[in-house]
Amino acid sequence: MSQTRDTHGLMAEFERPEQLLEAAQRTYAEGYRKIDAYSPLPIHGLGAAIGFTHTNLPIATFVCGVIGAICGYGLQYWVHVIEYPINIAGRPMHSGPMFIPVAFELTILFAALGTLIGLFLLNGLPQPYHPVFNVPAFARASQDRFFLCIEAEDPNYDAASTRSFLEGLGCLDVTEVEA
Amino acid sequence: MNEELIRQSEALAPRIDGYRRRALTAGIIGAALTGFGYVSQHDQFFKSYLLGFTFWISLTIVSRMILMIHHLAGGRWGFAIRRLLEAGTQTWPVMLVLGLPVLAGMHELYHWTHADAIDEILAKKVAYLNETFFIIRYFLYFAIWGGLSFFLVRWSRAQDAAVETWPTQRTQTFSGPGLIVLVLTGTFASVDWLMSLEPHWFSTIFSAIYLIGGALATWSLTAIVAVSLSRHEPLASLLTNERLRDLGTFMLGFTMLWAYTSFSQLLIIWSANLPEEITWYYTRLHGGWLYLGYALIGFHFFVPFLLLISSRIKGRLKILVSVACGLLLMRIVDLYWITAPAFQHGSGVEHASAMPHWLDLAVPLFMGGAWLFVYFGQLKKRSLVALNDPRFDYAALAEEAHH
Repeated sequence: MSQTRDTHGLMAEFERPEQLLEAAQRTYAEGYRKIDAYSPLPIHGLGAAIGFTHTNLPIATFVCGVIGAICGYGLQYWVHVIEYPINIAGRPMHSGPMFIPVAFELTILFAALGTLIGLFLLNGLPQPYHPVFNVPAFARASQDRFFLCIEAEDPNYDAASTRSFLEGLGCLDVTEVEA
Repeated sequence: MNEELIRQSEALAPRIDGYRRRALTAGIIGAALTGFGYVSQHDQFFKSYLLGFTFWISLTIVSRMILMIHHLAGGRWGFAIRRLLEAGTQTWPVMLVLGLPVLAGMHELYHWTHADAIDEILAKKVAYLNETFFIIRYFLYFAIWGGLSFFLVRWSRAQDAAVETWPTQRTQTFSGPGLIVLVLTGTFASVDWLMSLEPHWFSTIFSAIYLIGGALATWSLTAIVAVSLSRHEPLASLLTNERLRDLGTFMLGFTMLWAYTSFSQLLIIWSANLPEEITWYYTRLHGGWLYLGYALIGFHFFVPFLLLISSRIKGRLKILVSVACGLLLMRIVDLYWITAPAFQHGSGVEHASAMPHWLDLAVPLFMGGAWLFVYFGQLKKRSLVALNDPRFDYAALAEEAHH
C-alpha cells in the first residue's frame, strides 16, 4: 500500500505515562525507528525506550568550557602581561592564582551558553511549524495526555498495518497526522 | 526476604574472610617495617606515624558523617552502602589505640610543646595549645565518635530485628544534632593534629579541606569494596551499575570540592600576602614541594575530574576502581604535602627535597592493614543489606533479583 505524501505519521494517544512507556518499548521492539514520544512530564526511561540513548550535548558543553577557560585566562594574561602591564607594589605581572577565578567564571559561562546553543541546534530549534500540532487532541500533550507518533518516513511504516499495531497497544485513539 | 538476605550474606563470609586475611598480611608486614623504623629511624618515625594516622582516622570520621547524612536525607544511593559505612565507623577503637603513639611523640611533632619555643604569639594560645588539654581533647574526640557509633549501630541492629519503625525514626532524629557535633569534633581534631604543626599559622578553611579530603577517601574506598561485592548477591541486585556510578559521581563532587576549598585557601593567602599567613605556603611552593603541589593539582584534581565527569567512562567499573585507588594514594600524598614541610625549618627551604621516607609508606600500610582487618570483620558480622528499613522497597529488590 502506498503512503500519501502529505502524511507525517500516525499518532496514538494514551491516558497514563506507564502505558506510553510500555507502548514505546513495544514499538521499538517491533522494529520502528522513526518514532517520537510526547509527554507533559518527564518519564524515566522513555528516552531509552524510543532509542534515544546517545547525545553529543556533553561534548558541546565540554568544548565550550575549555574555550571559556582559555579565553578567561588568556584575556587576563594579555591585559596584565602584554598589553598594559602595571607594576602594583611589586606583585608579579603573571599572577596565576589570581587569574583562576575569572577563568573559572568564563568556563561556566561558556559551558552554559554552549549547552544552551547546542541544545537548540541539536533539537532543530527554533521550529515554527511541526505537523503534530495538526492533531487537535495534541493540545493536551502539555496537560494530561501522552502521545506516541510513528512517522511515515520509517521504512516499516504502512498506513493500515501500523494503525492496527498502534490500536493493539491499548491507546485511546489513533489519528493520522497531516504533514 | 530477610532470611534470604542473611543466607546470601553468610555465603559471602569466606570471600570477606579472604579480604580480611590479605589486610592482616599487609598489616603484619607494615607493622614489622614500622617497628623496625621506630628502632632505627627515630627522627623520622613520628612524622610518618602522624601521616598514617591522620589518613586512616579521616576515613573513620567521615564514614560516620556520610552515614548520618544518609540517615537524614535518605536516597537510593546510600542504602546499598550502609553496611560498608557502618563498618567504617566501627574502626574507631583500633584507631584510638593506634593514635596513642602520636600523644607519646608530641615533643617530636609539635614544637609548641617545648617551653623555650613559646614566644609572644604562642603564649596567647597556651590556654588551648598545652599538653594536658591536647591529651584530654584526644580522648574526648574518641569518646564522642565512639558514642555516635554506639547509638547508630545499636539502632541499626534494633531495626534489623524489629518490624516497627522506631529505630529508623530515632536514628534520623539523632543524626541531625549528631552531625553538628561530629563536624565540630572533626574540625577541632584536624586543628590539633595537623594545623598545630605550625602553631603560628592559621586558616579557617583548613579543617574543611581535611574533612572533604577524608570524604573523598571514604567514597573511594567504598567504591572499591562496593564494586568487588557487587558481583554477588545480596548486593548484586542492589549495587547496579547505576548505583555504582552514583559512587563515582560522589567522588567527582568531592574531587571538585577538595580543589575548590584547597584553591580558596591558596588564593586568599596569596592575594592578601600577609607575612603571618604566607609562611605555610612559602615552604610548600618552593623546592621539591612545589612540584609535589603541581602533582596534586594534576592527579588529585584534573585527572580524576576528567575521568569521572563522563558518565560513560565512570560507568566502566575497572576505570572507576582505578580512579578510586589513585585518589586514595593522592590523599596520602596531599597529607604528606601538608605535614612533612612543617618539619623543615630554617634556611635551605628553596632547595628542600620532597622525597618521602620509606616509613611514609610503611606506616599507612600498617594502619591500613589494621583498619581494614577491623572493617571487614565488622562487615562479615551482619547481613550486607539493612533489614526492615521502612524507607526501602524490598519488593522492588526481589523483583530486580529475578531479572
